[in-house]
Amino acid sequence: MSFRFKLVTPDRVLFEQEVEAVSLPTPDGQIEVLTHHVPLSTLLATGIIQLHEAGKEEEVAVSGGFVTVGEDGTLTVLAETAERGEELDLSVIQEAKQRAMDVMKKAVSTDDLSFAMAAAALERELSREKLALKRKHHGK
Amino acid sequence: MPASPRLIRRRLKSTRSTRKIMKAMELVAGSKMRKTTQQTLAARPFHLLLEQMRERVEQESHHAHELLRGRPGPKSGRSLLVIAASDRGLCAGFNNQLIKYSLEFLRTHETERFDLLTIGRRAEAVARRSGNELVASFPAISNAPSFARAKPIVEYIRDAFLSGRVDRIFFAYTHFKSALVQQPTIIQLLPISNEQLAKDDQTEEEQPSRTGFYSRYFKSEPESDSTMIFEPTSDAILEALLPRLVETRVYTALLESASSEHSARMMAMRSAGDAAAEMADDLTFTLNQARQSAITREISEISAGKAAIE
Repeated sequence: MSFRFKLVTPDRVLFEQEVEAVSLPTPDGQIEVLTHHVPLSTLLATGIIQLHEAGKEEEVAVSGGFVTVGEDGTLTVLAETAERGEELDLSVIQEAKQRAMDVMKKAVSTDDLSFAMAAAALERELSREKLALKRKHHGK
Repeated sequence: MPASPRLIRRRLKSTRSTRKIMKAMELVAGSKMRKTTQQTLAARPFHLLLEQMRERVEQESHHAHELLRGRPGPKSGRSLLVIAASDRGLCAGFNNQLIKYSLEFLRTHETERFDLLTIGRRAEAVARRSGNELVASFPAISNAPSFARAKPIVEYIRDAFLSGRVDRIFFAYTHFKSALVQQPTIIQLLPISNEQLAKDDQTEEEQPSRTGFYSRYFKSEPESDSTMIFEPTSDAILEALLPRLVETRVYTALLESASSEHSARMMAMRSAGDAAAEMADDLTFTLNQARQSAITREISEISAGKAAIE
């Protein structure tokens, strides 16, 4: 059994295909969407989306956004950013991670806007890194 | 009497160099058009889905979010019209059409006081002369549109609305339909909910593309029985969704505008180049005629001279 899955970012449509199961990060924890999921509307957290289709598995690093399951069971994910594993470059990610950590160290108070931005960036880079490292260790 | 070959030659030379310039500008505009069009088309699905989601959540939520229904309390009695034109000309009627359309919009809403905010120098000049107050003007971002460059504009607009300086914000831009067709469009940007607007539409407006564009364009099927689950709550989702929607609306409109501008410029340059080529052909023909008649005249003079000697 499969259902329609769409993953859209502000600058592209990354996926539009039939899948069997999708696991997504939300602010309240990871959720799994299967066929005939009840209509749902929620937020997307920073993390990794896993999709399963015909025995294959694919992972995408995302950072924040919105999730809807429609009446017809279509899962639509609107993500701020989304990258497949092969699009990620580990050295670039680690550099960005370092930058974000530096900003956080320098920030005077944790109420700063720059601190919040850096914290969000760090979270995003961490999930990207996790995905990139996973790919690396799986012999690629 | 034919003009002297020297004059024609000079004219021909300038026409040819004009044509070369047109050709170069057409190519530049063409490559920019391809780039921005691709960006525009890529940005549309996200915007569309976000609007659909907003409609869906809005039905469930009774949350009176400021961005959605406007600020509670006293009204300022002012509205803001944002006009997104271009910095540079040579793009046929692109700016003129939009400005004409905007001014007409102001005329049909004469009862309201409108402030103006312009994007692009072409709109700024007109706004200064219009008699409405020009509150800010930004440079156009159509050269290399990016979200980062749209951000200051979004922030200014949001502040103007949230601080209560204006009650409503309209956005005039050129909708990109195809490389050949671009349509001036005015949408109500804020407040997002367009209940008020629907009434306005019926009473004073017939043109389909004007306000209420989104409600018509993005209408999702009416869904009567709602069993949708909202996590954590529909209000919390709206809270996150609305600011993002405003950004997306502005950014997509600016992208549409950029694509329209480059397409309009490319077509203008193409037809100017074609006209120059045609003119060059005509001039070449006239030049040959003049040259030939000069030769004929010389020959007849020579043979007349020879006949006189004999």
